[in-house]
Amino acid sequence: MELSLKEMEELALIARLYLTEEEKKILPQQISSILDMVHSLETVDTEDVEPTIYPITGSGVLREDEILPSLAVKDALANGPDIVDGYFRVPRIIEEEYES
Amino acid sequence: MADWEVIIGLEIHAELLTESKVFCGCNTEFGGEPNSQVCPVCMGLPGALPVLNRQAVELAIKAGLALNCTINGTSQFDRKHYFYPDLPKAYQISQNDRPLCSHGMVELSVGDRKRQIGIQRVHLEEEAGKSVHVGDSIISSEYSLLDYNRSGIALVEIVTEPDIRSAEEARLFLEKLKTLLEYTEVSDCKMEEGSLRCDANISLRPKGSSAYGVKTEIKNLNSFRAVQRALEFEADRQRRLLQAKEVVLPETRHWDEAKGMTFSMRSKAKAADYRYMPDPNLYPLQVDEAWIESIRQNLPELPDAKRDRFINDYDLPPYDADVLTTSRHLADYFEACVQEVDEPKLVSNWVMGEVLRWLKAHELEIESSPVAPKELGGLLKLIQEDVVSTIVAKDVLSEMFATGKSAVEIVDEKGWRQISDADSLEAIIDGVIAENPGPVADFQKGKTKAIGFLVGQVMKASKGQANPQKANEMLRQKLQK
Ligand SMILES: [Zn+2]
Repeated sequence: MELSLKEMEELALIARLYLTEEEKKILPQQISSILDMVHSLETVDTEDVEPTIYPITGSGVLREDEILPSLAVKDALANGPDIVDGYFRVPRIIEEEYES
Repeated sequence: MADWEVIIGLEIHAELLTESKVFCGCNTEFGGEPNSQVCPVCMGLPGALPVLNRQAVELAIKAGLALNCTINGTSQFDRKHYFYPDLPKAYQISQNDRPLCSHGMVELSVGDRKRQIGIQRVHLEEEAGKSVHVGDSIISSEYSLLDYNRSGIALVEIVTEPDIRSAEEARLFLEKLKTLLEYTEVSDCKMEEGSLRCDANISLRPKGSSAYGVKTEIKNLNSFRAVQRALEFEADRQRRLLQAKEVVLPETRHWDEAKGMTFSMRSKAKAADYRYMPDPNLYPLQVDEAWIESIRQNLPELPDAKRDRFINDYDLPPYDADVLTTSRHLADYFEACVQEVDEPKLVSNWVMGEVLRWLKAHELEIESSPVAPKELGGLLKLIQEDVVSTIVAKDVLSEMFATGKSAVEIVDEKGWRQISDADSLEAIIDGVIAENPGPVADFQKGKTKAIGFLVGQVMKASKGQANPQKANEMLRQKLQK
C-alpha cells in the first residue's frame, strides 16, 4: 500500500523535513516498500517470545550524584548564532494560540 | 435532567532534589547566571552520552514507595520527540512503555470519608530549559531567550488513575502528594519556582454510567487553588454543554487566573506525535530487590503514621494532629518543643495558633522561624510556672519574634512578671476593697458575682500583672473573714 501525498507531507512536517517536489514524488514509493519489508515481521509467531527491550544484555552504569564542572559560559554560547545577555536568542515560537 | 459525575486525573511533574542533573554532572542549583550550568550532554551537542544519576533513581524509588507503588525491577528509557527551543536534543529522555514505578495508591480523607486515589505510574525523565519571552507577553514578543540551566534536571512524572471525583478532591490529593514528597525529601515542591507542576484531565458522565465522556486537558495551573478553581470552572462549563445537548471537544485548555476561565488552545500543528522509541544510549534500568528494600527501610515516618502517633502518644485531638503533620518541619518543631515542655496540648495550641499566625503574616516557613522550639518552650514554661499570664505571654512572643530575645529576658526587661507573691498582691487587694465598699457589701450579702468585678479592679490596679486566680483566692479569704 502506497503512502498518499498528504500522509507524506504530514510525516515530513512532524520530522521537520523540507521536501522538494521531486522528493515528494519518489519518497512515498520508497517508504512504502520499506514498510512492506518491515510488515513481513508480522508473519513471525512471537507468542512465547519475551519482547526485546535492548539489543545487548547487561546493565547500565550509574554515576554518583556529584557536581562536575560545566562549560564556561562563553564556550557554552560559542556555537550560538544569536546571543543576547548570555542567552540564546531565537525567533518567538507560539505553538499554540488560544481563543474562547 | 441527568445528574453528572465528574472524573478527574492529574499529571504532576516534580523536580528531584539531586545535586547534579539526571544524565550529567551539571549543578542543579536554582538562580545561576544564564547558561552557566550546562555541558555537551544537557545542551544536546552531537556525540555527548548520558550517564544516569544513581541518586535520581533512588529518589524516584522513594517517591514510588511513598505512593505505595510497585517498583519495577527493569524499566526503560525512551525518547519522546518534539521540536521546541527549550529542548536542545529535539527529544526528551523519558520512560514510556516501562516506567520505574506503577500501580500505586494514595489514601485521602475527604470530610469524614476515606478515598483511595490510584497512581498509574511514577517515571523518571529530564527537565527542559527555560524560555524567557522578551516584551510584555508571549504574544507581543518577537524573540525568546533561552537558558539551559534547567535542562536535564531530574524529574518524576506522577500520573493518577481517573479516580478523582471533584475539584476539591484534586486539591486535597495535591496537598497530600506535596506532603509526601516533602517528608521523603524527594522534591522541595515549590510551585513558584516551577519545581512542582500539575496538569489536569477532566470529563463528565451521567451518574451510574461506566463509560468515560470526552475529556479536556487543563494547563497553566500555578497553585493548588488554581487547580481547584479551574476544575470547578471546567466541570461547570462541560455540564452546561452536555445539558444543552452540545458536545465537549477533546482539547487542551489554558487556565486564565485573572479571568477565572479556561480557554481553548488551538494547536497550529497536527495532534502531537511523539514517536517514542527506546533510547539506544541508555541500557534498561535494573533495580535489585536489596536496593529497594534498603530504601524502604530508610523511609522516614510518613504523615499518616505520624498523625496516628501524635494522637496516641501525645493525646492530641485529631484536628491538631492533622495540622501539625501537614509538614515534616512543623511536626519536628512541635516535637522539639514538647521535649522542653511536657504538656503537648499547650504546645500544640501555641504552635498552631500564635506561631503559625505570626509566620503567615510574615510569609515565613516554620523552618526559618526566628523563634526556635527551645525558645518557645522557654516561654511556655513561664506560663506553666505562673510567671506570666496567657495574655501577657502573647505580647512576650511577639517581642521574641521582633527582637530575637528570650522570653525571660523580655519579661524581666519589661517588668511583665505576674504578681503572685502574697505581700504585693495584698497591698493592691486592700486598696481595691477600700475603694469599692458597694461591691464588697454585695459579695458579703451573697451576690457571688461581685467577686468578678473586684478581681477586674485588682487586674486594673496592677496593670494586668496580678495573677487573677491568686487575686480571686485572696479576695475571697479576706471578704469571708
Ligand atoms: Zn550538563
